[in-house]
Amino acid sequence: MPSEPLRFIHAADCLLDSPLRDVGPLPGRLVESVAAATLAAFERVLEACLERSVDFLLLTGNTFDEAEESLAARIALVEGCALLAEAEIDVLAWPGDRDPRAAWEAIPDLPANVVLLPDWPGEVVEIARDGRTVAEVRCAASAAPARIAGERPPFVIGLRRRSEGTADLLGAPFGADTAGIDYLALAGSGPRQTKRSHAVFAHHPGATQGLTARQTGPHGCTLVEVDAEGISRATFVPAAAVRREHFPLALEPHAHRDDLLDAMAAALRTRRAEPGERAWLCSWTISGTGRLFDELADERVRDELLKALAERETLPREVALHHEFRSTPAALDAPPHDAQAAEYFALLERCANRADAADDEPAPIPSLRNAIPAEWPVERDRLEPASVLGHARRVGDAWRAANIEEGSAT
Amino acid sequence: MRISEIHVDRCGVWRDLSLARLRPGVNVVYGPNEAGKTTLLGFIRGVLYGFPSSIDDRRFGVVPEVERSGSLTVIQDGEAFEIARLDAGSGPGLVGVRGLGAGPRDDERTDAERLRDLLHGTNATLFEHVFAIGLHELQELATLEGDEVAGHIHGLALGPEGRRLLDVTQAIDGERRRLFDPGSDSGRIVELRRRHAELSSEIAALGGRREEHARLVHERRRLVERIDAAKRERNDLHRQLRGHLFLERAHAPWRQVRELKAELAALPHLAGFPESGLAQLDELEADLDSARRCRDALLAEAAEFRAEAAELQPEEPLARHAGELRGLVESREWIAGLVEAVARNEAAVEEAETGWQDSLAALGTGWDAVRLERAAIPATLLPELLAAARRYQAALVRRGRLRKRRRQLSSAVHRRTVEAQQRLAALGGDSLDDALAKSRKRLADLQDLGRLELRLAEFEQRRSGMEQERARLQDHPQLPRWVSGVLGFFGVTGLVFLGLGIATGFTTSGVAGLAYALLGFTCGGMAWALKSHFEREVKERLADLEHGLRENDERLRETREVVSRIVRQDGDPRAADGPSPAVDALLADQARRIATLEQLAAAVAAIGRMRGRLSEIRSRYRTVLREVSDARQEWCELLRRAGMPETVSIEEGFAAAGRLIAARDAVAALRTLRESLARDRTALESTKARMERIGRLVDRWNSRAPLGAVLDGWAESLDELRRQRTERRRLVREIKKRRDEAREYARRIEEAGTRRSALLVRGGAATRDEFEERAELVVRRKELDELLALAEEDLSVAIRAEPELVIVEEDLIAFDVEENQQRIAALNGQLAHLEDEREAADEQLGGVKHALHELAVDRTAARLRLEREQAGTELRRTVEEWLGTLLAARTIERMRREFERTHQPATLRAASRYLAAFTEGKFESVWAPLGERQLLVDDERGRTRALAELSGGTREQVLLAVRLAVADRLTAEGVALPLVLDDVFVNFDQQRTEAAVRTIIDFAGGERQVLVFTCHQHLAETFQRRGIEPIALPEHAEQVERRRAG
Repeated sequence: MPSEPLRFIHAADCLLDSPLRDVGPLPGRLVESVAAATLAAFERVLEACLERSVDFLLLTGNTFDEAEESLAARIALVEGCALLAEAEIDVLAWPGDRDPRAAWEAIPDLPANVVLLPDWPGEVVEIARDGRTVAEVRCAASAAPARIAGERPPFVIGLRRRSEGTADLLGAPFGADTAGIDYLALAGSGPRQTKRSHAVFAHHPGATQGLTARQTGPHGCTLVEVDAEGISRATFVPAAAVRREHFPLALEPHAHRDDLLDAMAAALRTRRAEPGERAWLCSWTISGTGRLFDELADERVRDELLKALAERETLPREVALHHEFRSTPAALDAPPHDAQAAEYFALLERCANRADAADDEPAPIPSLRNAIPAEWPVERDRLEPASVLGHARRVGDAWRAANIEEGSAT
Repeated sequence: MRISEIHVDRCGVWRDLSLARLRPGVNVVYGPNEAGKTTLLGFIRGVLYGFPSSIDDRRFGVVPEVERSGSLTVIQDGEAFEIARLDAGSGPGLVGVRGLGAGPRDDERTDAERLRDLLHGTNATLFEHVFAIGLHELQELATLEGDEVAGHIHGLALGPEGRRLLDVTQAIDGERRRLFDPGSDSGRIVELRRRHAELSSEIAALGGRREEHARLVHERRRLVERIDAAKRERNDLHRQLRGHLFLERAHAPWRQVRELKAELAALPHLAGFPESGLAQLDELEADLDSARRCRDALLAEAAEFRAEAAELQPEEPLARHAGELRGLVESREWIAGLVEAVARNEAAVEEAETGWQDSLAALGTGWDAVRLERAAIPATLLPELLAAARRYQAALVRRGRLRKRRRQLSSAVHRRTVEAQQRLAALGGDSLDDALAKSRKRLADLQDLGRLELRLAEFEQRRSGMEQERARLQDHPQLPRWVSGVLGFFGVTGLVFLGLGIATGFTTSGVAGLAYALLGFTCGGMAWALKSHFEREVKERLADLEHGLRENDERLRETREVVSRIVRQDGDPRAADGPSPAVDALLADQARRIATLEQLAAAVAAIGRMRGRLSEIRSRYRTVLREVSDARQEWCELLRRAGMPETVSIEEGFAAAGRLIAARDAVAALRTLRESLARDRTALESTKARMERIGRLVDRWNSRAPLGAVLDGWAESLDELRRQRTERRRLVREIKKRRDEAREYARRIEEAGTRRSALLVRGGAATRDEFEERAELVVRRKELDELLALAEEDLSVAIRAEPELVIVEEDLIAFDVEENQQRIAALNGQLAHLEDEREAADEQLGGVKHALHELAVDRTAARLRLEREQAGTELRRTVEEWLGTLLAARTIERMRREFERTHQPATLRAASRYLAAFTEGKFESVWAPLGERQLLVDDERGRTRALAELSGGTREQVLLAVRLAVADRLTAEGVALPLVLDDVFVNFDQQRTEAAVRTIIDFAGGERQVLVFTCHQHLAETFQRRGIEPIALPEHAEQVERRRAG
């Protein structure tokens, strides 16, 4: 179906001025970059809008976190929208869970080019160019009106929000509610995802900046271009200034330092820096046993390792690397000779592999969370059972080593 | 040990109480309250372990009294002993232990030792805590926690597995406390929570920033609107002000234009009047006057010059001889120099003659010019004299120095020689070398004396040791005790067999008797052989010692002789009289003497060396004397050759030589001066003659005047002549020049007159006055035109400055300057006020913008949120670690429970059996957690309870069970003591009392003795039903009295 050519930027989960999570101690040179990472990513989104001369910027949810009450987020949003207003670029914002409509409406001096998209079916926002409607935005739940034959129809953008916790971001299958929709813009936190089905092009651009340790890899927004035939084309536009990466490594018991170094360098080489990235926060989860694994508990050993790794890095010089180590002792391949230690490890592994336990056995790891006092500000669902088990294994290792030492002494 | 009889002489309420026929097994002693059961228990404890102090007395119900006494008859291993104790008032009392059986009476042990043996080394505490239990002891858990009792209950060692479990438990607990200690609310997690909370508080404190920002944005908008309104009002006022200012500016030029135009219209129009005609006329007339004045002046000057030239005519003879005069005048300096040289030479000749005469007089008599010229004075006289004088002087200095050194050395040699001879005389006739050799030999002897004295001490010590060894061998038995025993045994056995053989031979059989006799001889022989074997070694050792002693004495004597000889040598007066001096003192004396002699030898050698040096200096002195003589001879010869008088004084020689040379030089100078004077005088006379001739020709000669003055007069005349000639030529040239210029001015005067006439014609005037009137009219008209143009330009500029304003002539006509200025002042006032308001608003706006900027650039909140996230992340990871330790702790706990279940001490296992018996299976086991000294009890459902959670009766049953188990364990270790229970079942219900009675009877069996004291008849009857007849306590004196009284 012929249509007016159209170009817009789709961004989601900007979470302006929200702090990066799962971040340990940082060197001073990185603190400001990390603290301002989401703002920097939003600036790049704005730059992309101006450079590509887009018709509008579509923000689908969680542009900021109202709970943070961040002034910087509000200023960045207002000034950014004003900048786009000067270039006659509209901002279509669909409030999300964290940036509810009331929060948007409470922003003073919000430029006039900001249009809050409706949450309810039936209401349509039309995008006009030279007096003609070139696109319209509506909730996915509302069916598009029937098109008049011979009339050049506007490009229809549908909005769909998915519930938290759903594995598939795209949520429900396409059905009657997506009829007549050309581009289904998805909202809700999650990774970048695209799905085409029949005439519908569904897309979630992912967060502009990876906030948690699980949001690894490049992040940014999507440039959507619609040609005269009404065919959409989505191009990833990198925006994140700080990139999160996670590298799990398994260490053999008799591995040498050079082996580990090779493995780390190889893991780093599998990643490619995107334009605009200024810092990488690399999290190394090393599991295993043996002497080298034990030595990694020493900070000096880790520092020397990172120095050696820096000599092998292939990333651009302007990208600052920050590494963080977490070591998790692996399960023993064979039970230890010490009967007590063997019993300890056997009980531990049984506990790790069970959802519940008999009366005479230790409680399984998930139920341990109940031991955490309610007043502790800890998100219990973010606790990692592997880490808990690792610490328990570490206790067993120390015990076993002490028993071996005592046995050899006697 | 068991008690068979109790006899109380005096203790508490009891006097002369006897309880006899106490049996093994259970004995029940029944008596009502205050019957004296507890006193009896205290009495048993007191007799066995000593009567306690008054505090303990009260515990046992014993009223302190001056004297407590009584006895227990106990059976130990079938033997009866009577233990009697008398309380002496302090301490445990006097104890006596007496055996009642027919055993040996030669036991050397004291009563206390025998009692300790009877009690198996136990102490009073253990007896009280385990064997003598009242209700009070039973209820006291602490009585089970003493080291000795607890060791029996909990076991002394955990075993390696238990210790490891304990170690890892403690390690995990420590780690958990490091992370989180709920007791003290400390640890890493608490720190992180605190940090998290602090950051949250700081972030919360920044919470109102959005509202502040919104307020500032609103304020900014309000101020901008206010400033815009002020600007609009200012523009209006400006417009009004401009109108008034425009009128003010335009009114003056407008009025001027009007007036100038009116004046112009009144003036006539003079066309063709030459441009700046009056100025041209003035110029032409000025030129004309000037030319006329110049012409007249030039002509007058020419006439004056002509008259001057006529006066300048030169003198004839002077002009003719001017060349010769100039030649002499130019030689004026040479002539003056000649005159001066003649005068100077004359004076010098006179002075030289005077000096020459003085020089001759200084040379002395006999000297004149002829002799002086004949004297051969070489040119090198002075250098030669100088060299000879230096040599002569140097020789004299050396001679003096050597003479001084010779005298000093000679004096020192003499002095040292006298000193050395005095010290040598003190040697008593020996030479120095002999005395030194003797002293060194004496020193060596004394050094040997030290070693000999050491050896002497060693010999004496060895002698003493040998004598002790000999005495020990002679005094003590030569054979070891066991050897003597064996030998005695063999000897006795031999005698027995010999006797037996003789008896058998005579009574039974001769062969058998012979065999016994042989056997007896064999034993006796062996005894004799062994004795001989061992005693031979001792004898040999004694012989060796005797031999060694003799040798030692011989060497001791020899050494003493040597020492005596050294000490009492000749020449040592101290040795001859008193006791032997110390070797160290002798050694020191000899060392000092040798040092003195060595110093003397060194002094003698030094004197020899000094004498050698003196001889050498004397030889050099003689050489220097010869050098002095040679130098003096050379000096005199040189003076003589120069014709000077001889002298050994260098100063005098040099003075004579100087005078001779000066006289010679004076003669030569006088001769040269005289020759020069003659030449100068000749030249001067010739020049004077020539000057006189020429001076007379020009009439300028004065023979009395000096030549210099004449020449000066001539020079002045020549200069005057030259000046006159030059001035006349100049005047002629000036006259010609003035005449030429006068002609030129005459031509100009004619030309200017022509032009003036033409100008007057052009101006339409005939005279100058008429011309001037017409010129003034033209100038005025031109001025008016220019003023009009300027006024019109001003008006035009004013109009162009305000293009938007339209001006009407009527306004200008009606314009009032004063009123207009008042209006302008009012408008300016309004504008200033408005401007102040705008500036204030601008200032406020700047402040608001600055505040907004500060808020916008402030990243504190973002940084704090990041820090809070970091703290949260660290907290989460620490909690994971804490959960890991929790998991480890629970896992270890599970292992520990299993270990505790399977590894309880034997005592607690036995106690569990007793407890099950007491409670009829309701409580199955009593156990102690690993590494702890607390008791836990499991019931029939497997539930674990602490003692504090149990009822009082059950708790007492647990503790009684544990004591029975401990008693079991002690019995197994050989500690068999009677168990005394004082009403410990009072809190048991009937069912458990029955069970307890059964258990106690089972515990006692047939061997162990249990004394049960009770005031409860039902308990006595319970035992009675089981065949144990209670023993009723008799009434004591107080009861009898109370009964009688009441």
